[in-house]
Amino acid sequence: MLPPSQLTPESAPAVSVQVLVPPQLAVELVPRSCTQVLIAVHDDSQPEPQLNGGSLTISAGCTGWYSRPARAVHFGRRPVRRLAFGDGMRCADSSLPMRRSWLLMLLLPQLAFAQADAGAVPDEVRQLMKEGLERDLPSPSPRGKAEWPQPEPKKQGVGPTLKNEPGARRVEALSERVRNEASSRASAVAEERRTVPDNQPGVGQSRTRAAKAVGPQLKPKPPKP
Amino acid sequence: MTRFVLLCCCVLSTLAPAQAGDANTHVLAGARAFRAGDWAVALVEFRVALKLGAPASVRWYEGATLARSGRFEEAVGVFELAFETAPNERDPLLDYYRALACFEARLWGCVLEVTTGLERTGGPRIQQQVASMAAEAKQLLSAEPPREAIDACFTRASGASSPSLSRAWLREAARLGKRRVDRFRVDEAERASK
Repeated sequence: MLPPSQLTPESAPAVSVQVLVPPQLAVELVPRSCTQVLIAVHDDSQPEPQLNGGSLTISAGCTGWYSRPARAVHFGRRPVRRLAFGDGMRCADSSLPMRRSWLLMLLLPQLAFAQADAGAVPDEVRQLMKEGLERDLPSPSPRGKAEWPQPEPKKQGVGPTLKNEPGARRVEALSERVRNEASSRASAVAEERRTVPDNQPGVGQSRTRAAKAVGPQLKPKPPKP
Repeated sequence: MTRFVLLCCCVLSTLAPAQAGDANTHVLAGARAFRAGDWAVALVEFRVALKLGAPASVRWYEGATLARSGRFEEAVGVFELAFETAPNERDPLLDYYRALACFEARLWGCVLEVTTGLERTGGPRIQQQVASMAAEAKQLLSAEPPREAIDACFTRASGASSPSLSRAWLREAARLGKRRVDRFRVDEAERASK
């Protein structure tokens, strides 16, 4: 296979493929090898086809692609500027094992990819990102003494940073309440144990029975009428 | 048969621009969320856009969003991929976020590599932050990196959550190895990172 810079109409390896392109796009082809065609996608709304940086190498039988500017555009053995809808490239090469329609089906989804790739990020996006990136430029965390990488990653995303979030504050408040309630229950039981005399029933028995012995709240309820 | 193929092509061709347009819509939504400081939304939008075929340059935005979210190690992997697929789309601001991600994830060779360029191209605010990161990296790398650190890079590479993060750790192992006289595991790291 020749490098692209050495390709001429005569040396261009034969490629047998017909490309049907969407009417709003123009496609330019460069034969690269028996199984590769370089395609540049243009916006047909422009008066002249402009290479906007997006180009595509499609391998018949694989879906690899990369971007590089087209240097030469040939249609078969004669140079062309652009192809129109329905135009095709016909070179004889029986080694291409694919049927024409199969290759066509491979090409069209790739064209969508090429079109998206060819379109640069809009200026509005660049401006928004620039503002967002510049705003409150994050500083590196203070370390003082740098450390070598460790086999295990450090845990991230937990700890002090979460405490500032509203949900985390609610959880923290609930935990505090539960802790307080548990503490007051424990002290109440301890108080009950201290107040029960040694010769009273309930001492040395279960906490429930001890509570029954001294707890006024455990008096039987009056029967319902 | 030919007519059927033509019909399929026409249907596909009408879908193609729509998909590209969708990708741009998500990129724009991601940028707006990023500008508003809504990192979680921005991350989702950028990732959806990339799935729909947005330009590879959007990877840089994804990496910056992860760094903003404090997910530095993931950011290192995404920045690695961005550097591989769209090296010309970066700018000093995006490089600063890459240096920050490397700094927080302790890829000191990466810090030094990225900050070296930034010290020339970054603005005054960036240069100030970059100087502190570079100083720390230089101080540590002034000594020969221990073998354990290089082994740790390999361990991190094997347990990495993405192939690009794995490559980033392997490249770091190679950088550290080159700073040793015995070039400990440099060839192995370079082979594995390709």
